[in-house]
Amino acid sequence: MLLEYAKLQFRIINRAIDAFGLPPSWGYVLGLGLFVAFSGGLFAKVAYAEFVYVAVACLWIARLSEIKRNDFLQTCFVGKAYRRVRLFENAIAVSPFALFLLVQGAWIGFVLVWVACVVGAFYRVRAGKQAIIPTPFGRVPFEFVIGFRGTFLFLFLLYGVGWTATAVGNGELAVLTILLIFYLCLNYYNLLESDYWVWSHNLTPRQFLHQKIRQAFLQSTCLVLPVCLPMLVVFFDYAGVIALFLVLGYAFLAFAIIQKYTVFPEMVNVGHALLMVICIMFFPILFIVLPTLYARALKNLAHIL
Amino acid sequence: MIVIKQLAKSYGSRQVLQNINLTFAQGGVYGIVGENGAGKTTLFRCIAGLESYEGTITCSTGILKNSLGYLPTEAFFFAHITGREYLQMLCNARQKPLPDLQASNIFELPLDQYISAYSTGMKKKLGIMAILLQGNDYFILDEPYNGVDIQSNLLITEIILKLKSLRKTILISSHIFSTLQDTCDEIYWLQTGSFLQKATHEGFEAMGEAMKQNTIGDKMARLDSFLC
Repeated sequence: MLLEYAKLQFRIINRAIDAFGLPPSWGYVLGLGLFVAFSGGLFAKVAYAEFVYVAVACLWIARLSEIKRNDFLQTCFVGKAYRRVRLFENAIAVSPFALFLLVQGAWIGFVLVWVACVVGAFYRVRAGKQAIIPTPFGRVPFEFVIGFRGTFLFLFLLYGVGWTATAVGNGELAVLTILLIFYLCLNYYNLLESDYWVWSHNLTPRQFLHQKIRQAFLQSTCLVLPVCLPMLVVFFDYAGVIALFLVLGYAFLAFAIIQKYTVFPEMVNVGHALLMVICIMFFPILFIVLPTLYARALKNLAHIL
Repeated sequence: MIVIKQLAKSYGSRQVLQNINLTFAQGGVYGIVGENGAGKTTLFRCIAGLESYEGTITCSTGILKNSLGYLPTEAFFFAHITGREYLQMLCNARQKPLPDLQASNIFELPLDQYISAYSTGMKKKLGIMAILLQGNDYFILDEPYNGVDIQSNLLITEIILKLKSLRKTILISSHIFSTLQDTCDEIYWLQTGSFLQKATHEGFEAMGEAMKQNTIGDKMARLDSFLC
């Protein structure tokens, strides 16, 4: 029974990796690489990394202890079988963390994650009533409303870094925060809506795409202005450089939107992500790729609009 | 008026709809009934233009999708969006201003809460409200009564009758035959992708009986064979 459940979960994970456009084996290698990089970076840069690491593992377990998920599991597995399943999946979830803590010789953390593994199997976590986070984008909702709500803490952290950098005269760091804000905005377009949401528009594909890009420019401007305006005051001589980076940000934002709708309602896969990376590394390629993607996006949207 | 001629739809070698010929007049309410998998939702998605198809679907008032309010069986919502924002989004999509929601919130929905906190019925009601606010001329309501409480069922029936009085054209599918009897001018029985029967008011009862016979058949006897 436990083996069957594990096999099913394994198949589900494989399908998810496959849907992302990677062979499952590559996905596991990539996932492992990212996990090691994250863990190594955390232990190298962050104070009390051991406890931060344990907290991350606990959050992971809390997701598995979510009440609706466990209600479902309890309808499938009765009594001790249910408990065994919960212990098993918690153990799988904390194993990579425990192994890394072991390699680091962080014994307290090692014990704590296993305690969390066992305790987590006996408790359920109810997702509390979510507070409504106000956004400045309510008049034109969707990507920026949802994205802002998911990233506002990180956004305010970036504002703090940007303002501090500007105050101490570190222009490079301030520019970097602008780019990071644009990077956040790019990620807002990873959300995949249903074809119904696109279909609802009484616009031509061209009008739809232009409207999306126009809104993205306006809304991203709202997000970068709090960093840009103080920068312009302090580094006025570098206004041209700041403008250049803004143009870069807008260009890649347009790229992300157009690329999304070339394959919509399918998800952008790893090949598309690679294309963006190539364009970031060799910026002029963007001007060759973008018109082609634009034409493909119009053709693709014509099926829905 | 919507005219459908020789509509056919297949997914690979699987024929889902075939030889569909229909005319939906202005101000008419039309019911589509059929078992799960009969092709009701595919038919609606074809009419909406959400699926490619063979045959023709024409609308006397121009591009159908621009004045069509489509309520899917299961509407899609993101977690961190409120009811008010969803309505705003769908009104924006049709360049319609969002009206005063305090007055137009006929289902008394908690519009400033995230939709993820809504029940199935509340999501359905939000979907209905959105397509009403868009000011459409045509409506496709795919299972509008699913998951909705009795009080709201009554309200939905009244809404359909009100839309009919305003000369709107409405297509409804429902598993509850009686709800269609209350509202429809004609009911079409769809089976494995083509129409088996059509009935007007006088024939509704006979159609209901025929459906019952067709659906139940010898299944009770078969059930007896392993229950008793």
